Amino acid sequence: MGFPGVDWSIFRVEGFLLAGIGAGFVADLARPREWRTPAGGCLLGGVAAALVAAFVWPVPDTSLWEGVFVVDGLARYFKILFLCALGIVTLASLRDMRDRAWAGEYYFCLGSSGAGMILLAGANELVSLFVALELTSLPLYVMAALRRGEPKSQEAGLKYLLVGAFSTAVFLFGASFVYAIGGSTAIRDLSVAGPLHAAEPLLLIGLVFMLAAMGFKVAAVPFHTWAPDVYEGGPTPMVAFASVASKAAGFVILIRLLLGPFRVLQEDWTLLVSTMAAGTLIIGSFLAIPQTNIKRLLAYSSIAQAGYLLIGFVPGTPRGVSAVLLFLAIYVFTNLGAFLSVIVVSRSTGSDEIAAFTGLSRRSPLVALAMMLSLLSLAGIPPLGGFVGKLYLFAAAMEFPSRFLWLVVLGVLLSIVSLYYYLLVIRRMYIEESPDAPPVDPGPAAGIALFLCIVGILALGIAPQYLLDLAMGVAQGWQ
Amino acid sequence: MFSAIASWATIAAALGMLGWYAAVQLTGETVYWLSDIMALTATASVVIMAVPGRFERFIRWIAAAFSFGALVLSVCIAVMFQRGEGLSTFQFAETSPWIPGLGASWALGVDGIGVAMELLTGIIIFCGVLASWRVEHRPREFFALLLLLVTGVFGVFAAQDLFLFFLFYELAVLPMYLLIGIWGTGRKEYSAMKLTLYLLMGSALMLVGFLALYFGTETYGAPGAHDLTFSLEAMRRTVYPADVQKFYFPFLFIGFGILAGFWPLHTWSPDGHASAPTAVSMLHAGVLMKLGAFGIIRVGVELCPEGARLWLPYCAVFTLVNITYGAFSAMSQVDLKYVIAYSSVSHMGIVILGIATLNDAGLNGAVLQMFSHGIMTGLFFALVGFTYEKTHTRMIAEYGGLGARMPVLATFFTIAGLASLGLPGLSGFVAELMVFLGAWQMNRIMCAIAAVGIVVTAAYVLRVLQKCFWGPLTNPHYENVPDAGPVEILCLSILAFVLVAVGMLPGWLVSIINSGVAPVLGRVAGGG
Repeated sequence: MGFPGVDWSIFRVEGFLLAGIGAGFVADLARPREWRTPAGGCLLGGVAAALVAAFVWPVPDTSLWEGVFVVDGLARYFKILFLCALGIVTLASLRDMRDRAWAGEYYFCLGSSGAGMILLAGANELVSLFVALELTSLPLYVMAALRRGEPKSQEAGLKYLLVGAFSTAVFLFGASFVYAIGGSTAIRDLSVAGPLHAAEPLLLIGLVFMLAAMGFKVAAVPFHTWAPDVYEGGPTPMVAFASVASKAAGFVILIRLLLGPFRVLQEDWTLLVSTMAAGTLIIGSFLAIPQTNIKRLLAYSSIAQAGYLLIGFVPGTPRGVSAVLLFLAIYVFTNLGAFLSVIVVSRSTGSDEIAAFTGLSRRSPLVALAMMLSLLSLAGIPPLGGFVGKLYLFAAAMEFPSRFLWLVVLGVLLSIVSLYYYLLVIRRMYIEESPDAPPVDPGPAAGIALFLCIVGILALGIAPQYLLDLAMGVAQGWQ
Repeated sequence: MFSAIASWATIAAALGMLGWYAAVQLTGETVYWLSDIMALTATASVVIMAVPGRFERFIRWIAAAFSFGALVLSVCIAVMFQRGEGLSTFQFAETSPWIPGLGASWALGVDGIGVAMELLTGIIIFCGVLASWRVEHRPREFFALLLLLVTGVFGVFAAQDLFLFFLFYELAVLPMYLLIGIWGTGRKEYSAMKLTLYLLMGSALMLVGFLALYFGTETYGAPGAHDLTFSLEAMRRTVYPADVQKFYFPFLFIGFGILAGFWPLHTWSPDGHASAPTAVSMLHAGVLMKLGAFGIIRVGVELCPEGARLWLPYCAVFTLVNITYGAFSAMSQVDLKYVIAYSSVSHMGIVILGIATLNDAGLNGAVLQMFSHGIMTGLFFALVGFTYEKTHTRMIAEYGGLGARMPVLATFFTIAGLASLGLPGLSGFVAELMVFLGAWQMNRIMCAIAAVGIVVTAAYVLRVLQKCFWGPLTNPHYENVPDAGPVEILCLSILAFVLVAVGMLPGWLVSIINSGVAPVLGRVAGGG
């Protein structure tokens, strides 16, 4: 190979995942037509192997090719997070995709997007960051449009593609400014050597562009408009994956850039990001209220969650970073729990309307419980994980009450607004009854996935110490 | 088949854990009384949820047994509570680390105020379960949620850690949404949503205050304390600067004040209480509103005495509106349950007025009024519930002379009414007298205005009694209406007994309460 001295075993996590994707791809092509696709099982195996590898055989701190790819605490943390999300989504997809003609393509795209995120977690240079970001996003665009023959899905795919391509262009544009001033694309060189000067106005332009591009990824206002349409139109498992993993991916980049080389501009971006956070919270919380489609409601709710994440991110302290990391991990279980319930219900009823949840507590206690716990966790109710996450985010901002008190007060008040629309769904499930509606059966795979989410939500709420230490260690070690 | 196995396994696991927990304590050195109460009610909640459908009729017996256990334990801690000079303020204390990374610990302990509230909760939950004897619709979920909720209530009164406090607070509020939404009457979904949003809005505001106090433990903490902590004990040792106290006190006061029914943020309460099923009204008006007043004392006054001294005199003016407006509104209601609901607003005004006086008589009176009103309003709501079950209406105009057909209910109604208007010999009198003594020391005009509320209370209570129960039977529908049954009489008797006992012999309870109030007042006076 052309890279002497590179120990390829540090790519073991990526390797296992790629093996799973590859095996699925080949098996899908080679199978007899009447067989169901084995791609889902292969992907699941790859994810499981990668997870085991990440836990049992962790990669030591490494920097490859002068910092193009790094393995550090942040990368390890996010790789595990992405793998968990990918695993749960795959598990939940098995039944939903069983009799779809495009299941093979779906699993390939899902796996590729996950692989892109895992690369992204370790990318520490503007170009590799860009490549990883594209590998993450392109399969998502394809997946959004996979429900062939459904206009909403086509609309979702096209919209996602156009907006995503635009945001990519904006990112590149911003990156070119940074390169012009910093003279390097490696984040390490930009920050360690310190060639970036706060006084440079072009740098500020570069910052604004890159921030806008990340705003698209995490669906922050005013770059959020794609989210509700894509969520509504795309296949639900894909939406579930995009809603958690894409958001996490956006925050990896934000952490690496804004708290890295752009630290010199902290005064400027604090204002930008806190304004963005406030707008995101307000829009996300209020626009969810009139929604009648559960996926659109969850889209706005996930916009609001991005706002909470930004509150924790704004102070830029290790506590803030660890709060973001903790919240994202909790968010994986919480939001996936909600989306998995939607997958199960819409499969049984064929409807994505909130009305399809009527009387769910009688029709399937497990799914209703998972949905209720997920929604309450999203609203930040103790003793569920979402509460610890939100509390920690608010705490990170309350460390500087003179600057961020307004944001915290806004956040806590809007979390009550969001509770309102979550309660509307809970009311459907628990208070209203619909004797005629068919029972809902999640099936074994989705049942296990739901159970994992419930356990995750409860465990992270009651005993978050392990994860807290982990996140704090990552945040402190990384800076 | 599978679900039956799962049910029995869950029940066995829950009971097994409870037994193991009991065994550990009995063989060990200490008994964790406060955790024990919560362990009982939480186990009951799990067991009831897991009871297989065939045994649904036993659910109320399980609930009664476990809540009776909670009552016995809460009486035990009240009897064993030691008071006197030199004894520690917070007793039955237990601490174990929980989430050290956040500075949260499982810290429990009660002072005189907490003990009184635990006792109140124990009485009300047992009577509440008795009052729910006739719940036929989805009884499993009903009792499970009720006991889950009361676990939260017991927890708040004992929590010595703000993280734990907040957790229990939410646990006490949120099941209310389903309890009112599913088993309520009238505009139940509207009321349930309104109540939940109002109360959680309050909790959101107080969370901001909590976080400020939390960061203060590091900045202003005692020398050597450099870790962030939610521990109330550490916060009491922290000297918060006056401007911090003054800035954050309104967050805490309004946050808790919403739950305490503070005017003008009380509007959730009449709707919520009127729509809720009987036991939930009892628990909510009887105990949960006290939780707000308790929070004002425990967190607001005790940790921010400077803020309390600055803001509470203004708040006192609002409480006058509470007292008089609540009483006048009660006077004009046509629905019996709304009368009681508005009377709670009025009586809670007296509690907050007592707190706002920040003097010995006022604060002691406020806590005693919390206890007394809890029992009294519990009795009222139980009576309204029983009467409704038999007559199927709550409209005062449709009653009339019911006393002739249901003498037992009428008698208890009279006792509750007389306690409500402050008849000497019943608990309400002692409490209100003390609050008014305190208010007189603070400001005589305020005291006089508040006294108007008492007069109006007497007017509406007597009016209701007269229209509903006394006089000749006016509505022929109720010719053969039954009187209270044995379970109902047991429930009513317990509550009425407590009302009379505290009214006749207030000394024991007052001395317990005072042992908790004195240190709080010491902090207010010593605050500079």
